Amino acid sequence: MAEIFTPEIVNLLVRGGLLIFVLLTTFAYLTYTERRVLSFFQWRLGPNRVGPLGLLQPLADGVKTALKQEMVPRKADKVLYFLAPTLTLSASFTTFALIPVGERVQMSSVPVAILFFLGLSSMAAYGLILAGWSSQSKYPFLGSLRTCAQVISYELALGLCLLVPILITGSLNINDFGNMYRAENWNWIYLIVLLPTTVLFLISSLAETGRTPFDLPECEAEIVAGYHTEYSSMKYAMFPMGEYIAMVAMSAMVVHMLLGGYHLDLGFVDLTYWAGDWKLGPPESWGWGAYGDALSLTAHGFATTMTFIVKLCALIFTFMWIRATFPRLRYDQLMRFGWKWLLPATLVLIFVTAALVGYFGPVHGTGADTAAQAAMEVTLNARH
Amino acid sequence: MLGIEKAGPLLSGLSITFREFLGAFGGRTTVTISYPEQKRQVADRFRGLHRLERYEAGPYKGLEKCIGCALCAAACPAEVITVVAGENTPEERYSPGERYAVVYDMDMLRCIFCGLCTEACPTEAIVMKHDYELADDSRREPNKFMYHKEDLLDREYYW
Repeated sequence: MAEIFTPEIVNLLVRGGLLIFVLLTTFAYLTYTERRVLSFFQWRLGPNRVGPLGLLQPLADGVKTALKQEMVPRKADKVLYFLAPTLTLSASFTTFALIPVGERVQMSSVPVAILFFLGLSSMAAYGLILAGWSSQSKYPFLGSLRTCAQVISYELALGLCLLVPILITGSLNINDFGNMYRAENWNWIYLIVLLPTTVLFLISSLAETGRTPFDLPECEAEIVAGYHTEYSSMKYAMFPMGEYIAMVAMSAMVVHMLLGGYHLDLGFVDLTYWAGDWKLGPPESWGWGAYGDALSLTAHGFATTMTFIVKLCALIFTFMWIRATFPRLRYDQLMRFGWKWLLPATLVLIFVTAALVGYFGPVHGTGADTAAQAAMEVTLNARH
Repeated sequence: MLGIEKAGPLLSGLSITFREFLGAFGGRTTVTISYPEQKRQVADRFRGLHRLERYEAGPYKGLEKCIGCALCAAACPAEVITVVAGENTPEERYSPGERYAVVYDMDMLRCIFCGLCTEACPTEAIVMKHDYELADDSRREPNKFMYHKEDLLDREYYW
């Protein structure tokens, strides 16, 4: 037993559990926040009855959803029917394992995180397709075909957008994107390509997560509720859960691409370094030894995490703001925009980036070695 | 150029919605009416729950206006109203005429609030008031949606 629960394993388990807990809470409160923010946009009050300011609304919603009657279509392909929501949800959760949320606060620093990220977002698309296919019903099937076409079309643009920071940093590690601005040889000229790329990434991530104005997968006037029409109770809840978490993951990618990741570095002063390296966690006097180290977090890590969360909130607000503003596109408009405009635009940006990188050189600096080092030790908190 | 100019209207749309969002923190009144606490004043001609009237003044003061003619029951398209008439006697006088309603039952689950009963009534005994919160919790025995004469006669109304 003692060999199984080494400090590393305990650390991983605690981090994994914490991540899942935090993400589920995030989902619950995102539904509340979204309803509330949208209502402010629309001169309404939003949910304000359950608890102070309606803050217990997610709890009530959760209980209600969990207690709903579960209906499974008789002709449904049982295995795929059960697999589909699980696949969507686990893909979104796993995406978050790759994303650094603070300095050395990360499930795992994978050297090829971007590839993994794109792979997982394709996996989520499988969930949507299987959901429609296995339901053995017309509208889910049509909905899933539509979703599938949309997701695949916009995934191209999404992946190509990610190529721009990859070209600039010469790295597939998400940590290096956020550290870009702090590099010795950072050149502000790269903002010329980074800014439009981020905008295009944001647009394609809207389509990828099926949010307005690209929420055709659940175009209720035409295809009922789309691919999840035949789902009920918790299995239904897993789809919005996966979508919201995917939205958070996309926002996190934007934070790393453009907003300097988890740093609060104004160039002349790094505001998170005041926090220092002292440890937040079980005190030494408890005698937990290496386990205590495994369960602790540096104050600096905490401060950077908070920075990251604030930046993330700003982006999630942008997603809600867009939802409050734009009406849904027509399907042919969606396809035309994706293939005839978004894809060529990203290709042009890649060419421009390549030219700039060829002239000014890639941004290394904090670069490759720290990333490789971080990839080797799979630790949340450095054990100081 | 290349369709980028089409982003202009999109951005101005975003700025409009953002201004509306900021207004939410500037003491703007919302369009929402917090229902059970705040109630909206209904229109004068709103057709809500019925009431059986009494004469409030004049020689018949205190007597019921209803004379048990059952014209309301005849006019009712949903067959809501049941009227059983009885004879007034000098000792027991309920209404000014010969007859009065011994039984006046309304099945509010059937009522469509069309107001034809109030139009049919020759003495304006049945009128529609502004109460609309008619939800209740039993339609077996006791059927709380069956309003009897005493329910409709001296009922306290919200409005």
